[in-house]
Amino acid sequence: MSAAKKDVKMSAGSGAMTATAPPDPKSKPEAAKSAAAESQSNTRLEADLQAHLGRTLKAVYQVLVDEPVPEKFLKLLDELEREESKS
Amino acid sequence: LTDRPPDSLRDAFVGAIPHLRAFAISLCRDVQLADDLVQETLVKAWQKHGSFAAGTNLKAWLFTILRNTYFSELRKNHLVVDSNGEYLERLSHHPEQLGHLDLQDFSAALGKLEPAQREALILVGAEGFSYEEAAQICGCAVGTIKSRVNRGRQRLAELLQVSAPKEFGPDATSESILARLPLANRHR
Repeated sequence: MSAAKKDVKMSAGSGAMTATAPPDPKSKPEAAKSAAAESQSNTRLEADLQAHLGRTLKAVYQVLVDEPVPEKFLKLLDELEREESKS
Repeated sequence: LTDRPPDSLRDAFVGAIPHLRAFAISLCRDVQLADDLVQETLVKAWQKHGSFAAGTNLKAWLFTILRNTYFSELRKNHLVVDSNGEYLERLSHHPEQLGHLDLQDFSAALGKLEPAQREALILVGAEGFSYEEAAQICGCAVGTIKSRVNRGRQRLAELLQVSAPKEFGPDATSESILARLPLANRHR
């Protein structure tokens, strides 16, 4: 049933794609292209771009988070805990 | 896993260490200095954990201590900041999904951001703190964090040589812009 749902979604999506097919980059831009449509597509590009940068930032940061924790920190915490239980 | 209660302070601290280190490295861009900062943070936090209000965000509290420690060291001129991303060389591993050079590019761009913008981006965009939590950690207004995040994002895109989409003209597609990003496959 989820496959059927997916089919419906996909055909709806491809219908929308044909309706707003982007101009062939090799053909001359249509003079009549509306500024509104252009700014809408710019907004989408910007959103795509920021999403891409956001994913990369997370991936770069995750490298740091995934670093193994040096043993010295665990020893330090053990020591702090021991000192506390003594007092 | 251990004989301690799962919510013991020690366990909570241990869970926060990878994030504290990542944040510290992002701040001072030096693994050695970052480890010193984390160590100092753990000791300080342990000593004053009585002042930590239960039910509030322990990670945000630890980040606040680490950040304050960093800036107080910075004021005393004890720290030299390396902004070229060479610190990545000293990390033990690199992610498979990103080429090492791509990482270097992105990291170098991050290093060129204004420190306040980089910090806000890291806290909100990478570490996942809310604007409110980030504002609390940095001791500033929520609006300040929001504008730093926005300006940081724009600057990052500029540094990675991705201009505002309108500069690409009406024929630009998202594919052609993404292909110009130095992040994907450029060095391969």
